[in-house]
Amino acid sequence: MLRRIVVGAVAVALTATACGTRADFSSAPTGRRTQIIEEVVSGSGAPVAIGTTGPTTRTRTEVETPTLAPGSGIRNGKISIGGIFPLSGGLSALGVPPAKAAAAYYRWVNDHGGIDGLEIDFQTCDDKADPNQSAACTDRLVNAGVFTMGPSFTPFSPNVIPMLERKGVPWIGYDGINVEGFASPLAVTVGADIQTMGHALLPYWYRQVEQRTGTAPKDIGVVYLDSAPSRAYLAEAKETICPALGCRIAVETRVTYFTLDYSSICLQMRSANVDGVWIVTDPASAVKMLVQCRELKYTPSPGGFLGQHGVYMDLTMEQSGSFADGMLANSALLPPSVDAPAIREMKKIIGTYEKDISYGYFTVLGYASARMSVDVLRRALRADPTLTRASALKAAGQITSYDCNGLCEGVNLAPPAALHGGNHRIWIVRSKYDRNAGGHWVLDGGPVDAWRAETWPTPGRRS
Amino acid sequence: MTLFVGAILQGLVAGSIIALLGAGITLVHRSTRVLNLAQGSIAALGAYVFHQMTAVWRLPTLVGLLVVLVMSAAVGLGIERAAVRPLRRGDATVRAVGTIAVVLIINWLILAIWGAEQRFQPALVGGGVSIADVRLGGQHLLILASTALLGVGLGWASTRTRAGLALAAAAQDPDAARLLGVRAVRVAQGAFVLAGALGGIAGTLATPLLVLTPSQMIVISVVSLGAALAGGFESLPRTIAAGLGIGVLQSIVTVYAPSTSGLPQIAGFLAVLALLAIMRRRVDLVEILRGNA
Repeated sequence: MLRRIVVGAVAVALTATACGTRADFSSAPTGRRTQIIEEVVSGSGAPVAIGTTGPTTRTRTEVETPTLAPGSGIRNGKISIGGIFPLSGGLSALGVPPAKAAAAYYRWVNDHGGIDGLEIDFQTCDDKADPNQSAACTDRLVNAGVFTMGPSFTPFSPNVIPMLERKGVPWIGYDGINVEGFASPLAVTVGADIQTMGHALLPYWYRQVEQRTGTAPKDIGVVYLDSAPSRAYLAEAKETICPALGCRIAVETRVTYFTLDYSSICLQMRSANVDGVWIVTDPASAVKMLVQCRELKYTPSPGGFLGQHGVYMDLTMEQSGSFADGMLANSALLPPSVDAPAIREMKKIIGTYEKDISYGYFTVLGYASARMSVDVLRRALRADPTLTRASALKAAGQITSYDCNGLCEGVNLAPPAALHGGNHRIWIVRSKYDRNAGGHWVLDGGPVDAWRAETWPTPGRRS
Repeated sequence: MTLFVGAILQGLVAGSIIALLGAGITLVHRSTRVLNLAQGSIAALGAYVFHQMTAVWRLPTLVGLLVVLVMSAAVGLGIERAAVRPLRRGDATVRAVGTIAVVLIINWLILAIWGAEQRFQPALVGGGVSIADVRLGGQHLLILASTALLGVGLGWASTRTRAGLALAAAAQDPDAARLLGVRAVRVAQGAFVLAGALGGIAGTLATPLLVLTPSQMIVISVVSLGAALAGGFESLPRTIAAGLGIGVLQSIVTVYAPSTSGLPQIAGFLAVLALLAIMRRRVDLVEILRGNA
């Protein structure tokens, strides 16, 4: 009897362990049909211009813009903007800062006259990083009549974009992490897709190591989380980037959130004598990898460790200390540890309303998204005082060089971002550990034009 | 060769934690017939308390360890008193379900006090050594040494001390033990206290190599059930050996089959199930040959 209980319970638990709780990022928005749409008729009848540059993963003719719902969400001089964040649960450390940053920026705008007189009503919903809750939040916010979705952090929400498309509600301030949003004609983002990130980071690292040591990192070891974005990252490196650069992925090790033994992976990388290790995982897995390699005193030579979405891994540097010094990573936005006027202004505005906030990547993301949504809506209002969802999207489509008030550079806001590579000017950051100040990122290079730095065939951006 | 040796050494480190948790499960079961599914939760709580003591309050490591030991032992005692003894008239299933309630309570407690965000614990010791060109860090050595010490200590205590003999007697024949004056309640309490302390130590030792989250140790404790299963929920030496073996197997799978995500975690358990199936067939075969079938 006992054995049956144990085996049964353990079989269930181990199945969950083996499968993990990974989100299916690969679920693309459904219901699109091949159709040329130059204009869509919104609920108010206004025409909307869609992206004017060439295709990346899909041809332009494949993009269909869902019919936009009539502009609601503006009542009594207030405009409602929705935001979804994991405010509780396992990812709340990543969800609370952007929610606070966006709320602080909107409050600052309201205290300074609103968006040309319109007061912002920022309605947030806690999805606990649960995809079902994300869907419930989307439903709730849309039914509550938000004008647009705004700053959010929804890493496990592949179904949010299709829901918004069905409802005809744009997402202005898309978090730029969920791959499916880049192909949506209703998502406006300052983010960059996986391919673009890879094209910025790997060549930069390759050249830097070659210059510094005289030896290019030709054999690369990759540790990647078993999820769609990571697999896409790896495929781009194997099929496009490395053949052009002259490197190869010598070892690839797949991990899950539940992988505990990273020491063996470090040993495996050492045994394969790789020139550098690229960590394409969530922050916690990166920490486990680095602290266990540190125990073994293993640092790949000459390339060391390479990160991804660098500022995404604030925790990684803090925990691995000086061991991670020099690790390179990429970022769509300036990291908050860089002393720049844009960062100082951000801290001043957020600091006016929020005393208890940590300035990590997600704080900048929330702030930049909020800032972008206000800039887009203000521009739309000035072009057409009858603000509709269509006019807001049209205004975004006309902004071809947006700088997030200094946090980013030359971003084309026209959706879908996949058509123009999203934010293709990427900052390259380097980890630096200071015994007194802890780990932080310093600017190493950039913004690097991901699609112009090398002369490879560009399957992505066409311009 | 270096890779193979390295995989074995790292496997022994990972297996040590599995072995400690498995030993706690076996210790409780052999004395009380209760399957304590809360062993991983005690380990998690111990790790959080140690983190609070040393990383947050900056108390000395030894003070932290002492507090964890006392707290984990007390939690073990509490489980016996609150979740197991009231269900003593129930069957094994009922009592196992009682310990699941403890898992949920401890998880709630951790979330209420520390929240769900990831926390990190610095290594308890630095330094390290190289064996056959494979380095073992100070934390690795501490884990190996602690497991060896606790394994030997448990073996000695269970055969050479009055309390240990009482535990063994209760395990072998509860009725005879009772007639000989062994008090079942005391034996159960002792087993839970010891198991709790083992859990607390395992959690504290493992966390510097991992990330501190409420569920992290539960994943290891699920694997440690495989070790206890291999030990028949009776034999401490077999449980500890199986825990170490599972760790080594996981490590070898990680090293030689890197693109099989999830497989290392289940490989050890599958091996235990396969081993048990083979052993069962062997026993059946012997019985058939003897003409007993």
